[in-house]
This record gives sequence, structure tokens and C-alpha cells, in this order.
Amino acid sequence: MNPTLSRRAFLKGGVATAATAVTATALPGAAEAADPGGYLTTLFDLSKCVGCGECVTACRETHEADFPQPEKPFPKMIPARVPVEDFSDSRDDEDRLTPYNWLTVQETEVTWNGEEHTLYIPRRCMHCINPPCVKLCPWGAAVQEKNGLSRINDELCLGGAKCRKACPWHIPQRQTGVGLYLDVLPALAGNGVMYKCDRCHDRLQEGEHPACIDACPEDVQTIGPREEMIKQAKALAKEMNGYIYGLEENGGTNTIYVSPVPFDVLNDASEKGPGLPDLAPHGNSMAMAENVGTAMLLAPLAGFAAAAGRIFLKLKRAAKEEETS
Amino acid sequence: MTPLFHLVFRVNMLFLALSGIGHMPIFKRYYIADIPGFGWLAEFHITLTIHYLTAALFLAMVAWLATTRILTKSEDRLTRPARVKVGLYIAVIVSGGILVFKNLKGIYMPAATITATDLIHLFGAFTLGITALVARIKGLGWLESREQALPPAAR
Repeated sequence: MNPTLSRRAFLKGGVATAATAVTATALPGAAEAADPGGYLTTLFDLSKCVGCGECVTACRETHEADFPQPEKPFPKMIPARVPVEDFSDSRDDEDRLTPYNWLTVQETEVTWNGEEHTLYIPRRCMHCINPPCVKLCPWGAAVQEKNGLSRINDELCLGGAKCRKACPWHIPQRQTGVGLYLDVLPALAGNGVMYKCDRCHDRLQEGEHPACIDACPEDVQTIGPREEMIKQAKALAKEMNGYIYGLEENGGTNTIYVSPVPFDVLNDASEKGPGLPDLAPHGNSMAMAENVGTAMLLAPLAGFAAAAGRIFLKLKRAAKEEETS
Repeated sequence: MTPLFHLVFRVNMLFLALSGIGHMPIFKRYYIADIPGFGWLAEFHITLTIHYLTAALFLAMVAWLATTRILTKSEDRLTRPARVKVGLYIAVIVSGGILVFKNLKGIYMPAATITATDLIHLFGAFTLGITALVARIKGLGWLESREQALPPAAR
């Protein structure tokens, strides 16, 4: 069949394409572009931390009401391989991240440049600039706020633990037997709620600092806009001839560490395992979504151009044939 | 639509749907990822990449079909289930576009918007699959002649 083309039909096509493009851009009207340079960032000076644990205590006291209160026995889950993750009998455990302990201090002994160093590294959510836990959550239970912090909505989370797998440091921790899944299909879907540091988002709303910062007797942490914290981190690193972690890790995080010892040395020496994040140089896990996402806008345009081109060529050929006959 | 176009469209839709369902942590739970060759369904960054790439091809093919349909005078018209499918495709495409936008760096989107968009995308795709299945069982294709569309008395 030879296609026929009219100016009206062509305009109709163009208008439809334009309307689709405009609708697609206008619909997320509630969305806003944010400036990652202004995201609220904490800077840790590891040379100052003495491992007193005041930050851990303050975190636990501040979030006591947020901790899970599971009821036992837990509903049976199908299939039997679904793991029950229960920390309710070890609520006092401060040696790793758990649903009841959102901040832990890792003690690391290393020899660097002929000197022995004992470093204490407070570990909790890194609050990535583009957090995979938030972006890959299938329900929108994990959210990133305007100031860059990420947190998990315990009323919506089903405990699938995708966020933990997507997180390069596997920070969020699951407690079985609590949350929305109990009211939906407890045997067949979900497995509790995921918990992690929320950077004391409610304290921030009140104009206060996160509890761990206020409680620290050594002023290990500084908080401020990311660009400013990067400047301070670089100046501090220069001053102590030290090293920085968090500028590029997973595309950049809103937590920056400065240490007198290289982070690969610290990573090799530190204990790792469930609830004990590493200090490895992680690449940007959201790079594909950032790059292909922008390029994806071109896909429908390519389809439109290919079809319009094909029809144009057919018409041209038909006109030529008509002329010659 | 040539047979090759049809085949590519269907195979692409299969991987688009599989990788989309793989966004939920269910393939590992229900042993499907244990089947040799299906392990990728439990790797979230792989399912995300495949979903993006198949979505790009899907969008290009849909744009090609829509442009051809609009620019070509045709006596045929869309069947009733086809009109329902077009509506559902638009809902899935627009919600998918919003989610792609959300995944870019430096984008703030309220939690309620994200959840609503996720649900529209999920249930839109699910309903689309059911509609396509019912239409196929009933033997109702995409197009019918205008004559066929008229009530029997008017023909």
C-alpha cells in the first residue's frame, strides 16, 4: 500500500508528538531539580574520634521510639527458604548495624608509614547523592528529601531488602514481624521493615543537628552544604597529609571521611560482614540510570524520524513513478 | 507491520515485562532465579539495565507505529480492546517516563508522587497484559474495517 500524505496529517503527527513530549515533561510537576552541591553533608575527621561511643548512645536514645516492636511468633512465610531476620533479642548489640542500632563504630588497627594507628570509624548510612536504595525501591518506601538525606518510611516498607542489596555498603537492616506486610499477604510477600540512619530528619526540621553530632565530645563531625564540606575536607586532608572518602564513592555521598591513613589500608584491616560496611572504592551504581535515562528521550524521536523518513521516501518514489509514466 | 517487526516487538516485550517484574524481589524468593539462565532476574542492577534498554527499543517501535498510523490514511480503525490497550500503554509510558526522570541525579520528587507513579506503572502494565491476553483469546486484533465497526443494522 502506498501511503498518502497530507499537510494536515503531517501536522497532526507533529502536534501529537509534541503533545506527548509536553505531557511527559509537565506531569511530574511536583518534581524539582535539586542542587547536590547544596545537599546537607557531614564531614568526619577520623583523626579526632576516640571511639567513646557517645554518638551511638545518642542515636539509640533519639530513635528509641522508631525501633521495631515485633510480635512473636512471626507468621509462617512461604517458601521456607525466606529468612527470618530477628534482632529483637539482641537490641543492645552495638557492634554492628541492626534495626536497633543505626550507627556503629569500627575499631581498626593499622601500621602506616612505620607508625601504628588505631582509628575509630563511625559507620551509618552514607546518604548518597543519588541513593540506589531510594531510586530502586519498588514502592517508593525509601525517599530522598530536598536536603539530600534518604530515609525509609516504616509504614510503607514491605521488607523485601532490595535496598540492602542495591546499597554498595549493604547498610539497611531488616526486622521480620513488623510493618505493612503483616496486613497484606504475610505468608507470600514481604518480610518486615528495613531500618537505617535517617539523619535525624525530624530534628533537622526543628532546626537542630543530628543527635550523633550534638553528642560528640570531640567534635568529630561537621555539618553543612556539600560544596562547603568538600572544601573543608580538602583543606583538612592537606593539613594532615591525609585521605578522603565519599567524594566519588557511589557517585558521591553526603558523608565524607578524612583520615590520616589511606582508605584501602583501613578497608583491608577492618572487620567486614553483615552490618559492618566496608571502605572499598565503589563506583557509581546509578551511572547507567543517569546516562541511559537522559538518552532514552531520543528513542521515540528516532522511531518518529525513521517512520516519517520512510513515508517521505515512499511518497517521493511514487511521485517520481507518476512523473515518468 | 512486517513479521520481523512483529517478532522483535514481542521478544522485546517479553524481556521488558520480565525485567519489570524483576524490580520486585520475588524471583529469588520463588526459586525462579535458581533456574539456569534466569539468575539475572534477581540482580537488580541487571534488571534495571535490561528494562531501560528494552524500554528504549519499545518506545522507538511504538513511535514508529504511531507515526506511520497517523501519517498514513487508513480505512481501518482501532478495535475496542485496542483502544483500551492504547490508553494503558500511554499510562505505562508516561509513568515510566516519570520514574526514569526520578532516577536522575539531583531530582527531588515527593514520596506520594513516587508511590502513586510506581503503582500506576505496575498495575497499568499488569492490566495491559490481561487485556492483551483476553483480546487474543477472543481473537480481537488491533484493527477492523470501518464497516465491521458499524452496528449490523447500519452496514
